[in-house]
Amino acid sequence: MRAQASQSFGKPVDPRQPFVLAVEASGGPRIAAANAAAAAIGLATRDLLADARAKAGVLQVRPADPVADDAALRRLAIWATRYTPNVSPWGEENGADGFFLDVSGAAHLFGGEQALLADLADRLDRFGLPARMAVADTAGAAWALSHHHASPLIVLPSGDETKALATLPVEALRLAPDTRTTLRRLGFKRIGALLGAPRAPFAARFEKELLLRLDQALGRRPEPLQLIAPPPVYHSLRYLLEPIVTQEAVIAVVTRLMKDLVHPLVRDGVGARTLRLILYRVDGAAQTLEIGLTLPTRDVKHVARLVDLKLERIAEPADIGFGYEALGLAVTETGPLTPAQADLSAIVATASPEQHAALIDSLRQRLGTHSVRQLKPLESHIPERAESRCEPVGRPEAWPAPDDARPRPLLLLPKADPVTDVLASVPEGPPLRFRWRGVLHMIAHAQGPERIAGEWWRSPQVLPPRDYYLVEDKTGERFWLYREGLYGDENRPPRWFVQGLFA
Amino acid sequence: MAGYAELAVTTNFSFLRGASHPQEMMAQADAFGLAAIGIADRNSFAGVARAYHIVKTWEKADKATREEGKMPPKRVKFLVGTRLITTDGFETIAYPTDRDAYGRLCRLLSVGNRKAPKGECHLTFEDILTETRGQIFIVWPPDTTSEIFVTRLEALAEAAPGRCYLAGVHRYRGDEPRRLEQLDELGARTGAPLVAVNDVHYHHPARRPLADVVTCIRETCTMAEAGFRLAANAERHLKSPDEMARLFARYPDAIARTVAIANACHFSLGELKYEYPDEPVPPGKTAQQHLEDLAWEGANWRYPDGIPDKVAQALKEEFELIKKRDYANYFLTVHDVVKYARDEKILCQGRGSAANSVVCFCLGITEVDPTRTQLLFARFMSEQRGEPPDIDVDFEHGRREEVIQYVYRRYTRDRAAICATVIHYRSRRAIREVGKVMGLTPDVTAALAKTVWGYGEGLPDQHIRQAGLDPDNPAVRQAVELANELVGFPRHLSQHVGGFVLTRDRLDVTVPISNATMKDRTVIEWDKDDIDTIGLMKVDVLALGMLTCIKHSFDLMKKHYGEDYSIATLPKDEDETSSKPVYDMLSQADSVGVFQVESRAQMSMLPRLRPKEFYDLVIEVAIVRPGPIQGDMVHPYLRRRDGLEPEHYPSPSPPNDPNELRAILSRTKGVPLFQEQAMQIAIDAAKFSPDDADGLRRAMATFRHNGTIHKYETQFVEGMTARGYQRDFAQRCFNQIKGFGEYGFPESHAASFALLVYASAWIKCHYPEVFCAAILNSQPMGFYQPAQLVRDAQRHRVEVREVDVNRSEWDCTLEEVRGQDRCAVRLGFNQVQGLNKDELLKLTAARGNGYASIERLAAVSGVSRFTIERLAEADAFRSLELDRRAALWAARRLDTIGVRRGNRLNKPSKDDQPLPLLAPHMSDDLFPEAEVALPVMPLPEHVREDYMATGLSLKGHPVGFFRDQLTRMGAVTNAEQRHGRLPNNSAVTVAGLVLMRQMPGTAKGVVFATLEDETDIANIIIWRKVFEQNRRIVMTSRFLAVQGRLQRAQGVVHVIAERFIDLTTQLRRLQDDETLPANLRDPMPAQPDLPLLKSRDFH
Repeated sequence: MRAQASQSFGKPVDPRQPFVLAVEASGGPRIAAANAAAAAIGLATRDLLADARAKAGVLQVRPADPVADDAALRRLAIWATRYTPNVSPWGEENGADGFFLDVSGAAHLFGGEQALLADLADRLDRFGLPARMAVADTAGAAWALSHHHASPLIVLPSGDETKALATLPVEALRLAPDTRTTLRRLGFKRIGALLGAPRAPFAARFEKELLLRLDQALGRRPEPLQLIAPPPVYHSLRYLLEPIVTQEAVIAVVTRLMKDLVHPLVRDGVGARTLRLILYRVDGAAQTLEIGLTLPTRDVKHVARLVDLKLERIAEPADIGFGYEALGLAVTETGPLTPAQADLSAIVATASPEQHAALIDSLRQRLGTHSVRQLKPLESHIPERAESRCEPVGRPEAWPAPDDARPRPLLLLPKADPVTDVLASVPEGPPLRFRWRGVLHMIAHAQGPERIAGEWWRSPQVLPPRDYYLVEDKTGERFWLYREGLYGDENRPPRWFVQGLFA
Repeated sequence: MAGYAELAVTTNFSFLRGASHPQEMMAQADAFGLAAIGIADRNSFAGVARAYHIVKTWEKADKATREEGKMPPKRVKFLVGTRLITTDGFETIAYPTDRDAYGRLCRLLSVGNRKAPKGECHLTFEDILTETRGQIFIVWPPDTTSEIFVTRLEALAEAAPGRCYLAGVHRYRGDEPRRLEQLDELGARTGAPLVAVNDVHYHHPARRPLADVVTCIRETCTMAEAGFRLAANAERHLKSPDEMARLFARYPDAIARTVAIANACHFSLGELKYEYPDEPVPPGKTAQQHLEDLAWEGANWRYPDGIPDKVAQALKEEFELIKKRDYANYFLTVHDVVKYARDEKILCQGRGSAANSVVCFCLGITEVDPTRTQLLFARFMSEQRGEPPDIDVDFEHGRREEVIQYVYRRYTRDRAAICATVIHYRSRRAIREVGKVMGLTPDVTAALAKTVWGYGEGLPDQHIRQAGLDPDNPAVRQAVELANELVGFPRHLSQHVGGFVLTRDRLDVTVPISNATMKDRTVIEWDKDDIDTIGLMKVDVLALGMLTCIKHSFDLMKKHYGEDYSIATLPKDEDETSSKPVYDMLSQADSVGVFQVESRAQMSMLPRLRPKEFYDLVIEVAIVRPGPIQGDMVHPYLRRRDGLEPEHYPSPSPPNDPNELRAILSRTKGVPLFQEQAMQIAIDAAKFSPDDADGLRRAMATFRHNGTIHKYETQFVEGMTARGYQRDFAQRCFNQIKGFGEYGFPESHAASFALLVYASAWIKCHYPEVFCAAILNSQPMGFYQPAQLVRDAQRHRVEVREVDVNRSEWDCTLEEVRGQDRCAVRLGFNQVQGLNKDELLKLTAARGNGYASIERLAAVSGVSRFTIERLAEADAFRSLELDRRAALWAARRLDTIGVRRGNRLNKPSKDDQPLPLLAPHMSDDLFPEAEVALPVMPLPEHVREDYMATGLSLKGHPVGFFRDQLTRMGAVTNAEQRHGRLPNNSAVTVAGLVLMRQMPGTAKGVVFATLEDETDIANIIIWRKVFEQNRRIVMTSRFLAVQGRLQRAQGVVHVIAERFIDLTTQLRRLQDDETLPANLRDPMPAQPDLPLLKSRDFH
């Protein structure tokens, strides 16, 4: 149950060969998890990666991702609420690699504890997650058995805790490392050795953790569990007295549905990122619309408008049949949305992020999600590489302020266009004339050169540098020209291009 | 042709900014015919010494050319400068016009350095304004000129009238005409006229990628992320005068001014010639007279029965030489430092080329009696080499800091500082950092870095393939090429281990001084080679663990046996009853702990060499080195020594002296073993000029002159062949010189070391218990861990006793044994891991006649519960009849009566809750409590716990508990294997804990391992093929059985490994005291293996 960063690392991992996840630690990276093949050659958690490589010769390594691990564990814990609402994923103190299910009062629904365990094991197995589990009267005993009993599935009959725990090592009590080592040094290696002994001498010598854990495992004291809360559901459904057939009517209902959702969204401080609208037809068929949003929102009008746009694009009149008798609206994905202070100033110079996002949403509903892109600045001296496309994110990143010394044209041609008939003084004087798209331009003024060398690390070939000139022809048109290569290079005579136009 | 001088050069000594070495800049500037080149690194003079080294080689070459009656070529002039960058945003290059101005600039930088943390220099514009006398400034304009800049420029131009300029760079940014015009106008207006510079960062445009890479390393980003932090083009290279004239065609004055500035600077680093500190000399005497008086005085003390004629003669000759070269103050300085150490009873010994002179012996700087060695004293300072003499002094490592602080006190921080050590990029680091910058995954970089063993000189293709990577892959290719270029670049300055620079006048007017990371240390910017180049005086104050050990030994011998020895007074070769047992012991390779000859390689040489006199030890020390081994000199020497082959001296063809080699090589049976001999062969047999020989010596010395050694190879081999020597012999001589290149080992060092070999061996032989206690107290040092040292002592019938709260001191001590004349060793608390010395001193101070109980101990001494628990874990309460478990059980309860808990650092802890009501009455009367039966700890577990706490056990050896099992496996004990009657080449199985694994560079992939069992050690040889097949077991096991063949030759026994059985997991059984219930999964959670058994591995 280890998540792994999904970056592209070249070769895929071969699970049959030794494979480990590593974390940065003091003294160098250490192993965070090892697969069976790695364990078989003696690699263990917390080993230094350098030592592990020496042992293994060839070792597949990927960085560990504890955040993703935790998220995966919580996801699985939420899934497990199908058995009982009381599920508690383990934190550090429990090893952070599993969870407790409180099945009291729930096991009979699945045919008893044994059957529940079997069912759970079966499902986990189908997820590709081998698991060890134990059922006992106390959380502590179940943890101990699941970790230290030979059988991967065990149900401890009620009242057998003392007997079952006696043979287990003291580590089964989930104690702090210092307590564990001291117990071992004193010769108390198994829980049984503690059970018969007087308690006061131990209380005087150990943190209260020791006796507490012992009592909890034996059921003498309760162990409160931190239960996971399942994610809230935002769903609203309306049955209609009369089937509706018009788009306006649908929008009116959607508006009401969305209004119903606003309150719970506000309560939880979130907004909708994805919505699902289900239209139930009179004849029993149902249509589903998915609506994605750029920024989380609770804006009823905005949602209604997006549905409107979507319907316009997809709805065929025939599909409506005899009309819709019910509509359901669910928020399938949320994002945090904290209330913002409204701007009191009358003049708003720039569009707010919300307005920006609303525009993007509208464009996307109309043109399709993948047809809308945003440009962002990229630090590169090469002009055509100085921007890149990205998913629309709302307000664009600040564009670098224009540098008077190094002017950039208003229009950058999609591809630099070769020019001919260039007359220029060597070695690096500005052009005196050039022909572009059949027209000969005589230069009146010129500035430059600005020399930009190729990005050598992006290509194994050596790229010739470019010399850029800002020129103005006799008619007042202004161009951005460059010469690729230098005069005097026998192998590669320089070539001229126009790359942009100034206003 | 227009003259042009490049006055803004940034080298790679502006760390991670410049992309060329100073030497490369010099060579390129010279090739272009520049009028001058000014090297100006950021707030530093660190790189100028390297550039000056080039100037010096030119001067030598030109002198030779002139002597041949030819005209030497015109050379580029070299200007020493620095780029001052202030914390308040002002930047200017400064060139001192003369020696005094240079001194003031040094002091300015020193002031900035001393104000800042290591590696930084904090100056303000005001600081610069106060130091303008004699400096020429080239002010760096910001991108957009601000008002404050103009004000400052005017102020500086006013403070340095006619010596302040404004830098103009043709940057190829498209706006050059406008910008240069503005600057020209600004310069004219402020009185700081425009001067053309090219802001050079690399000597050739091809270095642009490397410049980008170092930028990324500095900015900790990848190439893809670097963006505008990289330069837009490759124009920051050195340009020719014509090119510069073209770029500044509109400003011919700006070009002409560069030459004018160069002409105005008259300072050369040659003016910094060494000035020895004046030593106090009695009135009416010169330093030379004083030195001679002291030396004669010393000679009388050394030779109470009269000074031998040979010695008196040598002394007179050396005096002549010292006088001629004016070295008297240098010797007096070293003498003073050594005298201080003697007075403070700090053991020390000198070594180095000048150290083995009679003068040094008489002054007490060294103990190597020149009448007992065959050193050629007169050559201790080559007359031709105009270099200061070289004496390194080793001190006890524990007390060296006192000597260092004495030197600072005596010469003051104004006149003494420690040299820098330039940390260079080595392959491993280079590929790691370049790989990161180039965006290779950590896995790929790690794989590349891993293929480099030690100090490689680049990454050959086959290594890349071995790492499972494709050398033709463009990304890998690029990264490897760049990394290879980066190798040898300086990375940062660190401090030298102990090289002091001392001057007569203020040091900070010679070189900038800065703070070191260590408290109370100041360092200069130049390393020892730079100091050599400049010619400053240096004394090496080094630390040597063995001196500590010998000093402790002498103290213990005096205290317990009333014997008062020093290195000088130990019985020598003449006293056979005393010295013969020592040589016998060494001949049997019984040398665990003995200085220098305790390594496995030395141990296998000792029985073959069988030393019988002092000079044999000198050879023993020098022969097991890469030089003689690679030169294939070892076996010829041994054969000749055993009389198996005749001594043979190749002769040159007539009319040359046929005996010229005999004179050099007779003391080593005709086989060159020492660096001095190789040098002498170069001079006498290959007819090297003294300069060439000196160049060869330098080329041998360090890697930084990478490749230059090959230049001398042809000269050497051809030189000898031409004079009638066999080419093969010449080649072998040179191979040995190449071997010296890595670890030069001169005879003079070997002689000093051999004396310590003798001293430590003598003590070990005659007073093994003294040696054992002393060496344990001097840890860490040497090859062996306390467990092996103790076991070795026990083998020599020394009684070793356990650590005990009522008997031990902090150090290991000797205890008298009733009815015996020899003492027993009592282990000290210093052998217990994780104890705090101050705590234990409290414990011993309050002990009186001993503690009666653990509670009493806590109450009276006031040590923390943490300390008592550690002592319990070390089983140190046996005198209270408590074993470790009982003691730990008692200790755990102590904080209920108010004992501090404490922690490893012995700092107050938040858990410490003083109990004010109980504290005054704190006593050992605890409330009675219910009895808890502690399980009895079985012996194997006690042994294991002993190892955990102290790294050794006196109760048994871990392997002993497996003896039955090992016998069933067919294994013999190591003692049986080594000393039994197994025939040579018979099959044998041995087992033991892995003490060491070594893969020496000279052994071509062969691995040597050492195993230890309860009886002895076993030496294992693993051939390359067997190693590759068993790599994992060999590299990782801690408890190992080896099947193989016994090899016995000349008293040395090895096992040639064939098969391995990893027994490491068996070690767990030391603590398994019960049979495991079958229903348990992983019987025991993994406990750390004996961490202290981690072997010493040398890769």
